[in-house]
Amino acid sequence: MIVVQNLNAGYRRLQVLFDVSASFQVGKINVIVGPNGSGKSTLLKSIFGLTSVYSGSVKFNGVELTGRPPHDIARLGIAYLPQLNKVFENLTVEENLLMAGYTLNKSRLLEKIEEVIEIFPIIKKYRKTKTGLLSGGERQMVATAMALIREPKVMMFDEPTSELAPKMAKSVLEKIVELRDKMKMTIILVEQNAKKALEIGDRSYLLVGGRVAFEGGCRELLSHPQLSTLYLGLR
Amino acid sequence: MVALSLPLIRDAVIFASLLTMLSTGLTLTYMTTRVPNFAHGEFATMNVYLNLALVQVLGLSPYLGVVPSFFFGGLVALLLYLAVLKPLLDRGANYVILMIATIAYDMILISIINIIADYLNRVYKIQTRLFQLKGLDLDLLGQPMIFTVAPALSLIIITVLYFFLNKTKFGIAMRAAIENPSLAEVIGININLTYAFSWFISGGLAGLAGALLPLYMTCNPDIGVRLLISIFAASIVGGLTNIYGAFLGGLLIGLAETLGTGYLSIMVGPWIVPYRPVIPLSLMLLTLLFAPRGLTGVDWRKLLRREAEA
Repeated sequence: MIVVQNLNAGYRRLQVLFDVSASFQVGKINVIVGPNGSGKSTLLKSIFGLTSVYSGSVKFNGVELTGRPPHDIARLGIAYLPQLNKVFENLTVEENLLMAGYTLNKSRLLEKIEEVIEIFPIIKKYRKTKTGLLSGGERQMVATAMALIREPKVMMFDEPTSELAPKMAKSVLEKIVELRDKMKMTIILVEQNAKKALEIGDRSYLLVGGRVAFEGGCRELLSHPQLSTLYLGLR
Repeated sequence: MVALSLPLIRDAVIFASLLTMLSTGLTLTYMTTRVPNFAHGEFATMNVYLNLALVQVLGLSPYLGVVPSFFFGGLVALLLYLAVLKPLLDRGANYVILMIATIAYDMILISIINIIADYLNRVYKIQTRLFQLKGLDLDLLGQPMIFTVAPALSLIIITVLYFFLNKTKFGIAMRAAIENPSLAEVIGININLTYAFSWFISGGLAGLAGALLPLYMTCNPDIGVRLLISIFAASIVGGLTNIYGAFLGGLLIGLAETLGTGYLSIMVGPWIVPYRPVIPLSLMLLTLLFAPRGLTGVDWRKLLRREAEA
């Protein structure tokens, strides 16, 4: 379980998050929604050690994460898929997967590659293709497969469906549900498309201006008369 | 029209081959650390003198000298990266600062080379200025052996580099670190190690070229600066972001420079020979003006299609 407590964070002198507290539940899809610039991505980055944390704490199963370098946090079992540049475009799909498991031993890594390719049949035929030639959705699948190679316990997605065609966006979200249901993974999902994300999610956080404006079940937020209209543009 | 003469072609092939070893190295370190390395010519010159000492003092065959030259060249380059460039990069220095730092390192190396040249001359009575080792070359099928060794070594190097970068885990990691250092770091690649290794390889290849240079041309402590023009021209013609492009650029500049100067001296007179650097400089200028991303940045397929349609 990841517990964020009274977190104040940002980029150098620009504070983005103000006193944010949240506890992300194990084996669930935790959705973070909110308007542009509300600090959704910054919250993910802060968990992964990519921002300046001024005060507060982030704990993963009791281990303090603030102050640790990103590669260290990755090793603890947290995967972070950034919104952009999440694959090596000049490398083939197979080389990307090979790199994703850079620290694993060779035989174990080759096994894992076969395993994750089975989960994403769509990328199977592109093994020897340069990743830069794939569509946005396919790249998202490759990035997700790369994260899975390291057998993380928590996966954090930053707007995985942005710039994807609706059909592709749907299948990416279906894969995320599959990760929760079949692999019992903890998911933290930041989404621009709030409605779609809340429909598949369990727990939700609404961020407004860097503060938590709502915390509760996804259905609850979806059906909240004021918040859903005011901040999520639903009806 | 002047007929092709064998010695001229031979010179062109040897120079082009040696130039590929220098341009691929310069391009490799530019790709990893984004530093235009002005000390690259001196990585070769250091080994001109290392090999000269090995040959004239210890009596080794000049071809045996390539092995120590590879390692020595690698170490000289690694020292530049670890002692100068890495600390500057850690402080967020931009490429202008890094470039000036390589010029400073270059000047230090030039001084060291001059000291070594004088030392060898005084203590061992070896000719260390305007010297050649052509007389010590072996004979292979009636031709100097360097005529075979240089192109063969050049092909072996580019093949080995291809396999290293595409078939080994560390090589793929180097490509990953070149493309997206922050993502590479997040997945556990030690990018500093891949960068350091690229400097070692780059210096090593320059060392190989340096060891063989005296078998082909008259060497002097200042040849590095002159070589640097050809090396940069070859790398820029190749696109600076692709080692295969740098290889092609090396061949092209090497052949154009030698053949061009050779024919011009026959046609207009030998007074033209000292103006030799005009050829690589003009090709570099043309590339920057008309194809700034180099040979490998041009979309040849599209260009050919347009030609076909016109």
